[in-house]
Amino acid sequence: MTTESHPVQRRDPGQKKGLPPANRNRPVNARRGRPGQPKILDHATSYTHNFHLRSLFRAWRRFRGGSLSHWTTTVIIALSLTIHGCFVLLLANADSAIEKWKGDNLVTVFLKKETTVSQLSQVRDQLLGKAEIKNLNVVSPNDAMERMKTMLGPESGLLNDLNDNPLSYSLEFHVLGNDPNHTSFLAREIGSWPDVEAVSYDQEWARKLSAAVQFIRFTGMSLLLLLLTAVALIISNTIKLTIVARRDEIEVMRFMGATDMFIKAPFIYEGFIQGLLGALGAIGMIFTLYHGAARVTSELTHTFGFHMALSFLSFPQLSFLLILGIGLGLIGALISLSRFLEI
Amino acid sequence: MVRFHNVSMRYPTGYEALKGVSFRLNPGSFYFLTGPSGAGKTSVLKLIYRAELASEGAVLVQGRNVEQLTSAQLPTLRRGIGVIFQDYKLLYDRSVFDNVALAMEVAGHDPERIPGQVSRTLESVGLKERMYHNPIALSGGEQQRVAIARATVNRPPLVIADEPTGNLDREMGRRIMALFHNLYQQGTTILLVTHDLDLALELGHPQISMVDGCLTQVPDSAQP
Repeated sequence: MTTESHPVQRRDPGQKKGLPPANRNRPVNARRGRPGQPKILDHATSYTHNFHLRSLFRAWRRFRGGSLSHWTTTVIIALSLTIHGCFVLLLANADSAIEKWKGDNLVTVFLKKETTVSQLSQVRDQLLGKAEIKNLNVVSPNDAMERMKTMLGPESGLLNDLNDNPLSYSLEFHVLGNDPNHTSFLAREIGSWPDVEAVSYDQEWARKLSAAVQFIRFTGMSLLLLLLTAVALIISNTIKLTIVARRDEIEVMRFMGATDMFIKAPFIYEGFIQGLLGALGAIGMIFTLYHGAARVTSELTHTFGFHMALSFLSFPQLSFLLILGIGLGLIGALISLSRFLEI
Repeated sequence: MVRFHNVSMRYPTGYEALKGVSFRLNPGSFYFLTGPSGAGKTSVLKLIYRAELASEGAVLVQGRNVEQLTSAQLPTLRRGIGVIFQDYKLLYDRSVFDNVALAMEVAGHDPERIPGQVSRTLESVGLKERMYHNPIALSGGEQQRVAIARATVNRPPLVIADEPTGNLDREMGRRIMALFHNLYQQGTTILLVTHDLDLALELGHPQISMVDGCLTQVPDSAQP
């Protein structure tokens, strides 16, 4: 005779998850792959003293065993932060290059082809008479040709076909101070001298590049702000799905007398975990991309006869990326909790 | 322990579930709340653990008007009440042990006490051997006993149960009732909703009867 009856309606989440009936009748821990009799220690160890540590463990268990959407969200965070990080890396290196050029403040004066040595001396003396000029260096046509050969590397053989050296004398010097307007004024003045063909100076390039970088910075940061807002909303949606999936548990805990924080903490930590893992993934991806870019840049700049080494994100920048990821996770979780969880 | 003063309750749909209900439950007493379906029995329970609020009148639990409790005070009230739901409300993504342990976690008990206390409580309802099983693998009677263990593991002074034998056969119903009787003998106040009058009469505890949201029978000991 049957001594126990079954309820008329009984939910079967095992069936919902597609577990075979045989598995549903096995002890829970055995189904998790632990052989033999489950030990009470498994439970005892999970009841740690610290509430927040316990909530973090609960959130981690949910995250690990959760749906694909948790991992998808983490990947989205990682990709978004990678875009952000690469952008910061690019701008930081551009700023550094601009500062270097500005700091050098090198001006090159190209003389006309027909300029004689005495005219060269005259120009040189005129330049030396200016107090703001230092490190004046005369580059002969032969020296200029050698530099060009070095720059061209294996292709320098092309220059051997030239019957005559087409290059003229030039003078290089640095301008004291770091005022781009003064350098520009000086360049215009020297450019008006009769024996001078052209004047080029790095600060002009630096000024133009700086303006371009400023534009990219403003546009890029605006787009990134939109991107990060979208990410926060995606996290919020993922947490919402968790809240919906766990509404029975939340209701039961509520009627048992759980505090707001007891119910909310695992969701908040879930956002924290997603943000943290996303940020760590992003740092890994940025580092990989940086290595590739640094190698290519080194080879490219070597071809053009100078050396430029890319620098990786600084410790404060990396910390910011980490905080940004965690912040996004927490904001997403809090948006979701305020909108979808009524205690 | 519990006092109802002229309590009326209307749902947002306009349906009036309770009309001027007044009674009291003394500490350490055992009452059956009986009546046909739709009489308002479940509404009485919901008002006690403040799942719903009264439209009129006052509900006092342990001397406190539940309506006036702040959201910070509400968890304390609920921790003092063991609620057993008709549909058990067990969590099927964890073991029997974890279902019961959750009640202790929620109440903020010393984590070192949890495994021992849960084991003892499950032993008292005859489920120690099945504590690592998923509740879905248990029979209806066993699931009901898990729900009782969960509601009583914190030893609340008041236990309220909504049709705890409604889905069980007579024999299992008797076993479940015996568990409630044990709790009563240990000093717990019990309010048990049932429409099974025979089972209520067998135990001999007083009945509060309801029909259509009104009390039709209140024993002298439960008069307000």
